[in-house]
Amino acid sequence: MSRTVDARGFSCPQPVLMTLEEIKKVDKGEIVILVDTDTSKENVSRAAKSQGWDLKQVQQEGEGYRITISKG
Amino acid sequence: MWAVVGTIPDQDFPLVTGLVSLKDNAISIQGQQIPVSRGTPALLAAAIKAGELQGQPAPYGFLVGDIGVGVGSRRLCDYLAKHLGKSDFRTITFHYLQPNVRWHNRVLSSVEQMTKRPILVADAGSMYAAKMSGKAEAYDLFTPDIGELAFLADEQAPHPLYTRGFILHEETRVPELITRSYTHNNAARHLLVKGETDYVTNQNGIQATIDYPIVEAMEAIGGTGDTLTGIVVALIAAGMEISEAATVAARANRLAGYYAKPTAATQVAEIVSYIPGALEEILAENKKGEAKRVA
Amino acid sequence: MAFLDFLKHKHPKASAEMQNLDRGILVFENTSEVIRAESVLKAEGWKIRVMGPPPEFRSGCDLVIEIPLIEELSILRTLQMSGAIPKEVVPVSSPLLQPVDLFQTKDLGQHLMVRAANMKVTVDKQTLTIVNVSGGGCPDVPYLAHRMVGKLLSDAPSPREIGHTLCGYALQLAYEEARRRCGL
Repeated sequence: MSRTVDARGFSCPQPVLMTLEEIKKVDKGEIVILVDTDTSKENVSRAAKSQGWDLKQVQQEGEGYRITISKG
Repeated sequence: MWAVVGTIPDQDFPLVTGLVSLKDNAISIQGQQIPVSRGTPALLAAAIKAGELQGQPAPYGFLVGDIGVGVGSRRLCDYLAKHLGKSDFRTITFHYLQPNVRWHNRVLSSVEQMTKRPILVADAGSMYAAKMSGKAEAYDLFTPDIGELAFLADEQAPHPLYTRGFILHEETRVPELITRSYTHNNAARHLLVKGETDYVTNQNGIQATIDYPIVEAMEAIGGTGDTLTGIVVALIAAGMEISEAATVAARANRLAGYYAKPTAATQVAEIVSYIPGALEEILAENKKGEAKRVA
Repeated sequence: MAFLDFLKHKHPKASAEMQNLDRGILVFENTSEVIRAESVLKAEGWKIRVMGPPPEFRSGCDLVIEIPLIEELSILRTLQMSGAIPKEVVPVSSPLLQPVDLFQTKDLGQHLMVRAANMKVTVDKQTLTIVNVSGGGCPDVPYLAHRMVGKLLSDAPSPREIGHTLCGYALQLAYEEARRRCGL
């Protein structure tokens, strides 16, 4: 079951920090991150990859994005 | 009626709304007691003390526990978005809340549905959110410290983390930062800037500067900025014009600190107890129309 | 190469200037990148310092990392892998480019107040109890103050463990400096 990080409404770098916090809690699995700017989408995707997580999917959702990352 | 929105530094503190009272260095709301310490409790305590002097009824509090992660703030903003539109508060002060643009905009939309537009005051995280949302002009008063003013002035910065001067305060740049905040529409109608010198300003420029008395120990005491905001909010709620309220509050806050004869270990609750006397003195002076210099 | 350049340009104030030529500052877009870079570099054993940027230098945020310039390339490689990449590397080649100390200490008689950037922690010199925490408006500051005030400096939780913001980071610096000055 995937965990969700709702980072909508937060300015960069908050979405990255929230994602990294969530990544620290789990070794593997799936995490969904909701963001509402292109900048956050790019930064969160890069940050996840730098921690060894795969970018499974990036979908447009409303005015923002649903980013799914996975590991293991 | 006047309202204060903020957080309590206890993640188990529930979302509570109701009239707030002060007794024995604790604020009380719906049976919950909260010690007067820095943050929203100190603002409320100062506001209540200043309000009592003005014959004001108790303020209405919207409070929730939040230790800085934002869980409580989100719940409180959801609640406000649903309920504020039907209320009739004359003044609403937004204090410690996690700065989030979405939550802020939903709350502001709710405020805009009120039959009569209230006076809006913001400080701390609520003020950051207002600027981040591009809606600073919707507010009547901000009470930033110098670092927060630097954030308001930095039209490029999406967040305080990007701002030069947010944690390394540049006292000499205050007038320039004030101008820049207004130029880029990132200031409320009025600003009360808290620092070694306090500045009262609006779009027309600096209206007053207050730099006495200076009490060295006050720098060490957490919450003295919150008490300043509390006093000005109470005066505005009592009907005082905003620039005058800010000037009186700045002088009264300093005088209360002076009369408390604090050491660096003094807690903000003790300063609060001197607010009524200090405020009474400043208001009396104002009435006489004299400036009095404290030796 | 900085070291060879130094050999080429010797002059009477060489010994004083050499210290400056040895150092550079990493400038970042925002302070959370600085904090992350600091963790990464210290974990790799680099001897670096987080400081304030030179007042004359207006680019970047409120924190810079002072590095030995001769190690610039290795340091950048380390940071590249972690994702915390500086926007500029600036040699401290003149007095105008000196980074500033974040710390200030005030002796208030019975108490010692240690300031790091905008955050202050005050300690009773005799009992080593934290008597006050002041400064900052970030959302976690009241909670940090609540957890730390009244505790012994040796027992209080470190702001880094329980804080979430830049003010929390600055308070951590003040707390560490207070501990150092009190011999802990």
